Amino acid sequence: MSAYKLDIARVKAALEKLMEKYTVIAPVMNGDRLDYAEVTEVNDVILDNQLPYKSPKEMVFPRVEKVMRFLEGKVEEAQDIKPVLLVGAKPCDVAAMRIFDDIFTGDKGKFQDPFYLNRRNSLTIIGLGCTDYKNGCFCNIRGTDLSFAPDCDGFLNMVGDSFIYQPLTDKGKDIFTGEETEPVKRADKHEEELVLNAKESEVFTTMPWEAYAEGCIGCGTCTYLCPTCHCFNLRDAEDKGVVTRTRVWDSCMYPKFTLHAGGHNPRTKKSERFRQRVLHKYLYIPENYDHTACTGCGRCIRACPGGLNIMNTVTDIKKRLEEAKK
Amino acid sequence: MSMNNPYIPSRATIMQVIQETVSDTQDVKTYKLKLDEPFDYRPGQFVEFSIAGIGECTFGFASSPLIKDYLELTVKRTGYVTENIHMLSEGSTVWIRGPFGNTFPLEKLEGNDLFYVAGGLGLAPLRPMIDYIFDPMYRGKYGKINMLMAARTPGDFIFAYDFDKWAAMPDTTFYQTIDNPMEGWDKLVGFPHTLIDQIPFDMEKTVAVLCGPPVMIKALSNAFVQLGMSPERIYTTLEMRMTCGVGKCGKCNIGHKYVCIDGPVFSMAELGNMPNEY
Amino acid sequence: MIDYEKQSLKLIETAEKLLSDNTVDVVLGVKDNPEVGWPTPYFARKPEDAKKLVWTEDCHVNLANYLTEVKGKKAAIAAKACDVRSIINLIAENQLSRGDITIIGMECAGKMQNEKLASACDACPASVPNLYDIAIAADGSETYKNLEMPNSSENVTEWAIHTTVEERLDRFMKEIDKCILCFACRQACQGCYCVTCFIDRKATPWEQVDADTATKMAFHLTRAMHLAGRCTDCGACEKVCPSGVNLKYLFKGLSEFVEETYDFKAGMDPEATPVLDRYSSDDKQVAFLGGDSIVGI
Repeated sequence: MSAYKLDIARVKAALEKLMEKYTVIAPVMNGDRLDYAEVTEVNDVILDNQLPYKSPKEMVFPRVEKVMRFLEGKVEEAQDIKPVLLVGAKPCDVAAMRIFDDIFTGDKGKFQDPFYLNRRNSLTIIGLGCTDYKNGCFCNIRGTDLSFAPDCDGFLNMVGDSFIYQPLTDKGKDIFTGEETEPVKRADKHEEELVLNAKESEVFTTMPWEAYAEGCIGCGTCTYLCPTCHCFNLRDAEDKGVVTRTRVWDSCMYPKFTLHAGGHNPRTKKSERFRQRVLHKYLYIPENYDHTACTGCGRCIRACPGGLNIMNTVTDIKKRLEEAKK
Repeated sequence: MSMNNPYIPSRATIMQVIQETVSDTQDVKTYKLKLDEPFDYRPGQFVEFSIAGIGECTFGFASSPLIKDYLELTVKRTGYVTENIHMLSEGSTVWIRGPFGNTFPLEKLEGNDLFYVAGGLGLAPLRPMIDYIFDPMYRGKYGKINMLMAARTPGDFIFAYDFDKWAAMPDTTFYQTIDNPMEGWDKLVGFPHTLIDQIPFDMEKTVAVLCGPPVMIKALSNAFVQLGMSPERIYTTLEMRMTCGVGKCGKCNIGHKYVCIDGPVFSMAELGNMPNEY
Repeated sequence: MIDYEKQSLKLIETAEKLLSDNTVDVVLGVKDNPEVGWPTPYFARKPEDAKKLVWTEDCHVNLANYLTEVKGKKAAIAAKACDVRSIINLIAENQLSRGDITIIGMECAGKMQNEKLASACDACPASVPNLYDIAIAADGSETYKNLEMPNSSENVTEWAIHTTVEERLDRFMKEIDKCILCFACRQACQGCYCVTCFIDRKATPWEQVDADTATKMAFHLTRAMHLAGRCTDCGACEKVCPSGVNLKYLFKGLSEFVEETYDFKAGMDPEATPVLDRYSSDDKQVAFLGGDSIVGI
């Protein structure tokens, strides 16, 4: 498919029209920070190099998802979703969608997740290239390109004052048009340098997990902001006699996450919980789905009040593994 | 469970509540359930059981899969949901989704002797397998059977009403043990791992199937291995905190294995390769 | 005003000495963290670790909470005046033992967060801690300079007196609207050391079915009540908040009310009986049954 060149006015005019058909989600200011949120006024949309504070995972995996209601001894399943257009997703956030796809639609668990599929199928994603790295970004060593991500329906790149739009799928074909032009030349594909090629037994007890995790205060903000964290809980709530079961986010950084009713807890220490978070992304998911579940967006690093740093941790583990091999 | 949505439960009605333990705590009850939409399952699998408005809990099946009219779940009162379950009576509506998880490798075990060791509530997830194999249709496919049932006190045995029936089965030796000596108790005394060397069984032909509290499983499997049994021939079933049952929610993993889809039945050889985080 | 380079050098020297002569097992401080942009907690356990410690205008973290994690060990802590108040409160409430702790008192003129003065540092009462074992002054020497503290923006007490209930409620709602119920404020708070928090009794943090206003109000107001007479005004809750919720409006008023009514200020005297632990028959009853004036609430 050929690419189109268009200026910001044209992008916004197109968005204005698209808002009739879609719920449009794009980076807009929310107080003093940038967030992916529903666009009500097209001039609020900010398409630039900034990374929104939260990841866009709520579009496919909302913080609270209604599973069903119990009505007079019957269950009422959740309803259809209006089509959503996500514009301006950063390459790291687009890459995260692939990990969600694997986990929620993959055949590993043989169960497909109907809530996820429903939202995913009604979602059109238009990526937006970055022009530079922000403090804490490490997508370059996680194999995510600055100027391109393949797992979306179309991709915008900023070139000077205008944008070049490259449609990638049928869904993305008619989102933006303009004067036909050459697609943006992609920067060289980065290698996935930051990966762990190790057995569980090589890292589970031998690495200094307590030192890595000592700043942790257990707030779980890292998992809240992470574009690939997907753990959840099911919870019932009763309102005026009707019980609603919802699926809500949960976090492996909370001690109650693994607490058995009988009192036994396999992960009582914060170092064990941090180990779970790091290894789930860098060892367990790669083992089950063939690629690492971290896109290098750096949100967890920037937001951590305790200064925990997954990039430094994994780099250190790699270094120790190499030293051990010598 | 709805056909295309593993999160939607189907309705069940409590037919009967059976008080299992008669010790002071009286904290174990078995619930006989009639399902609106019955399903087939295999020994070793589990279900998510819920009360609307209270929440879900994970339980292994406690009745033989050959029984088609009802199924049984054995529940110990220990947390918020189980406390509420214990308040239910006959006729109550509950919700079930499943079956989930892998199964005991029944076909693979054909031709072997079996040695069941169960501690306390650990007997519940073994009962489907025990009853299944005792069925005249399948009994001939397996060799000699040893059963060692352990509980804290004589009043803490569950399914005690089945014991005479099991002990009378052909080619079966049945033992019972309690933790400490007690007046009037003429059977075995002591933890199971201290007793297995007194029970005659053919090491080469026997497969051990264990379930009980984590400490018991760890001590027992060590004892079997020390007697010369290969870890491949020791099976157990694990419990973990779970939410979804379908490998998504991220709660029950031990390393990259998810107990809900890769388990709950594991051989000791498999567990030996997994991180010690359960 | 403050020579951070000299303070850092002095801190490193002090930590090295404490660790090499085994006076302490661990020194709690901060180290540089270029990816984050501000220095983050660091536990120096060996003399050679000490050189990683830094002291800058951005090191706004209150490390007092981490002391409870190294309980039973001899620990030194680089602490600002506000951190020391937290340590004192923990000692007064028997969570820490004074004998285990070496306080390295860092003179401070307010810390920066996101290139502005941290909100909690505005109108901070003193540049110098009220309890310390080793002093590191503004110029790196051992003699405190007693600097003047920034006192720029609105005065919360004045604001509380001159606003209506509706205006105060409006302000509160605006603040908690940003809350995502991650409970980082609780986790970072020196006073929030309950083994099981009231809000975790049944549900874990994000399980509250919707992050709705009622749940947020329940959490913040109950937590505030639990911290009456125990909040040391260190601002750790605001500093760690990923959403920028400004809790000063809630807590400052509460502390001032307790001080005015019961003549007690948390974090002043490690020997003092905490206000909630003592009772006298002539205690003012305003907080209990409503009186003439309830300041700041």
